[in-house]
Amino acid sequence: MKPATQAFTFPRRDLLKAGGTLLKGSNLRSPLDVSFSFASEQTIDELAFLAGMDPCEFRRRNIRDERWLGVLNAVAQAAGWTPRKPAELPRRWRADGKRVNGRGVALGTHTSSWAAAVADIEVDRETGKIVASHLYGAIDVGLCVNPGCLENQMSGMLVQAASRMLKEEVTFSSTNVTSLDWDSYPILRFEECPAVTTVVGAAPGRQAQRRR
Amino acid sequence: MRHPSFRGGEQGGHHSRRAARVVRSPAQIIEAPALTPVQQAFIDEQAIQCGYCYNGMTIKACELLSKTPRPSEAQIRAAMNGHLCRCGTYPRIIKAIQRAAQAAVAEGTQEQHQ
Repeated sequence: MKPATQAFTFPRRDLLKAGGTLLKGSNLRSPLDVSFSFASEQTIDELAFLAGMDPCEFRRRNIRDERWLGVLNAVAQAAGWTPRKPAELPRRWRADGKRVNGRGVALGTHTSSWAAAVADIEVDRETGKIVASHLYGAIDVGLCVNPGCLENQMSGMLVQAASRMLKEEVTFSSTNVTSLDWDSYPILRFEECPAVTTVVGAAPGRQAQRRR
Repeated sequence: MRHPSFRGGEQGGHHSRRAARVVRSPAQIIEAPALTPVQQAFIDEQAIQCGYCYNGMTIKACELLSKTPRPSEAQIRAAMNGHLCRCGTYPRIIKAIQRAAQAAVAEGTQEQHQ
């Protein structure tokens, strides 16, 4: 297990609680690591916000591992990341009152690779509905034997992660699971599928391949 | 290594109580039909991951292209929206359908010229 929190070199860290949830459901893709990344990267974003720093720059300054830095820089480059204060809308982005756009960055892993992602999202201010418009992912898996296959997996993980973050929820009654069919289960479909850009093999000294 | 109880029928005439029958697979009997442009495009784009949704995706895509030979991306998304892919291969499936549409249009143009 190599949690994304290990990307950061902090002089002091306190682990308050790990595990022990009532329902231990982890056998979806990347068992447990999506929850770990979500929690730790949310915290990193809050720290960047408190420090008034660009979220990418805040991460860079707290990472020494060159492979984590490699994927972070690769995804920032692919997404055309421009430094900004947290929660500040870049001027070029639309803020027409009803809908606003934003973007975020995060790191994540599952056992043996290093990955980073940038998400462009739109938020409807009236309904609160969030749509992921474009996802960028960079991954360093060491030697990649089949980049096309890896890109397919990356595209899948980005789309599925968006689906899990934005839509999915298994429902329960007091006695059983009430999500019983795929027709009614909320899941990302074709019409809401974001554009996806993948960067494979961003390890230092290796040339990154960018495809859309 | 063969299991000792397996006696291939191809040796001819050797029958015992334990002799196995000659098995011919459908692949040996039936000549494989040509792939449709949609199937070929799904292969060319390597659009599949686990393959569970593949049948429905290709059938729906064929239906779409039979009605709308040159669909826009929005038309593809709208037509395919009832089909789910748990692996999240939507981007490549969209590309594959666009590719199949181009291939079919190109083939049609070629036939007209002949």
